[in-house]
Amino acid sequence: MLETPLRQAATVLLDSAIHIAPPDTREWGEAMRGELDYVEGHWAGLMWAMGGATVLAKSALAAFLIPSRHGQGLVPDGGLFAKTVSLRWAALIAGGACVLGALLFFAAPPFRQGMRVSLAAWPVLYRGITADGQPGLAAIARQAEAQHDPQGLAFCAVRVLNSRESARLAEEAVGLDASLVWVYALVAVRHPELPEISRWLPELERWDPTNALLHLITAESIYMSHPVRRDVASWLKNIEPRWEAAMAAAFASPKFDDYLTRLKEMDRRVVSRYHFNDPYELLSGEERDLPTFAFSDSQRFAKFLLDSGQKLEAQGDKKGAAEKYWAVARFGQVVDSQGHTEFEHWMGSWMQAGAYRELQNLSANEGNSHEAALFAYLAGKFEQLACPGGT
Amino acid sequence: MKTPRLSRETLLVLDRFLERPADWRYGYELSRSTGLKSGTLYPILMRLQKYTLLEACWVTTEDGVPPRHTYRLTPNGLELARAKLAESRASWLLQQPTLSRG
Repeated sequence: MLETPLRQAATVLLDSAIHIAPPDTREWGEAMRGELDYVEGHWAGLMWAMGGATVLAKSALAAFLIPSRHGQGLVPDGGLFAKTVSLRWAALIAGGACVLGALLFFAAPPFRQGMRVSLAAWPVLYRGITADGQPGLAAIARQAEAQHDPQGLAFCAVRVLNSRESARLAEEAVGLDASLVWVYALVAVRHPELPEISRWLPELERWDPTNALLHLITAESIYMSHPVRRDVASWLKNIEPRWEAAMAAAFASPKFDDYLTRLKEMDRRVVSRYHFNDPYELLSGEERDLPTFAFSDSQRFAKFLLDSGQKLEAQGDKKGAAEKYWAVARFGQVVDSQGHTEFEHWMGSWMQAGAYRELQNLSANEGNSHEAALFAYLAGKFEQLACPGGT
Repeated sequence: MKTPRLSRETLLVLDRFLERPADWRYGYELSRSTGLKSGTLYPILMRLQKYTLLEACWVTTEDGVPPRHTYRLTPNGLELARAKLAESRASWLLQQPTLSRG
């Protein structure tokens, strides 16, 4: 059953080889092709064809590499004359060039970096990302301290999982370079329990007074220092005035900067300076998104404002109600338009959707159908962004 | 004429030709008698013909069957083959321990 296909394969193979062979070698190809019909056994025939095809392919390669040597062919293993080596040299040179090219490819920085990245994945399987599983960061921190490199210290401060070490490195970095004060904000966002935050916040507010993020950090530090913080139900029932003031300031801020652009710029410099190529450690401990507390605080305060607006609306104070709704919509716009992460855009959309829905109702109750239609459109658009495919 | 050093496989092929020097031989027949694969045998035949040590011609055996290439040593080839094989045998004999001591 297999015999005919094998014989056909052998014929096709030799015919193809004859086709690519140099003109002065084709006669020999035809000779091997002619003998194929007399070779006993189909597997033997295929082997015969493979041997012949190899000879013709070598001739074709030789003619391609050294066109002036047409017809001389390659000397096979155990060829006719042992001293005929020039073509062998040509093959060796071509092979050497290929090997050299391959070595150059392996030596190329992108390849080496790619290899390191690939290999770095394996230790994570057993090491994991733990506080003591950041040997690369620890080494950079030691080096940066020895060299008094504030950027290296700040790079580690926002990544180390140990909050005390993170605060220490951040203070050392800012002590060396005051323009890195924004690192305090990133460390505070990642470790809101740090007592140093109360010292850092005034400094941050002087440096970046209009940033909503700093007010969100203030609000969280108030929550963290509250004696009933473990009693969430009680906390939710009684809004602390200081927390409310901080959230009101956040919602009134014209700016929202999560400092991720600054962080990325610094990362680029530090990573190349210290040849840091471990992506897992690079990302470990660095929460790129806005922290959950910022969303939960914003969500809670937005709900508080919308409820207040509804109460004012019920009392007939439509202007006061509109101000509350707009405060939420405006903060949503600020976070959505100035944030960098998907979570921030989602949070901005979520707040705008709720605020525009209330404004739509308010406009409809006032009989302003055109305005209501506009707010309905905006609410629908942001609902779609906040919850695609949802209701 | 400069006589090149011949490989062991080439000597083997020449030896088969010398068995019946007047006869035309087929490639497959040579392959079977020498044990050489087509990938080794044909380059040797090609080289021998290039150095006019071998002559080749096409023969038609029967209708509908492709012609076959046949080979025979030229007078030069015959002379070289005899010389080289004699040289090779002498060399082989000299390499035998008992004879070389004697």
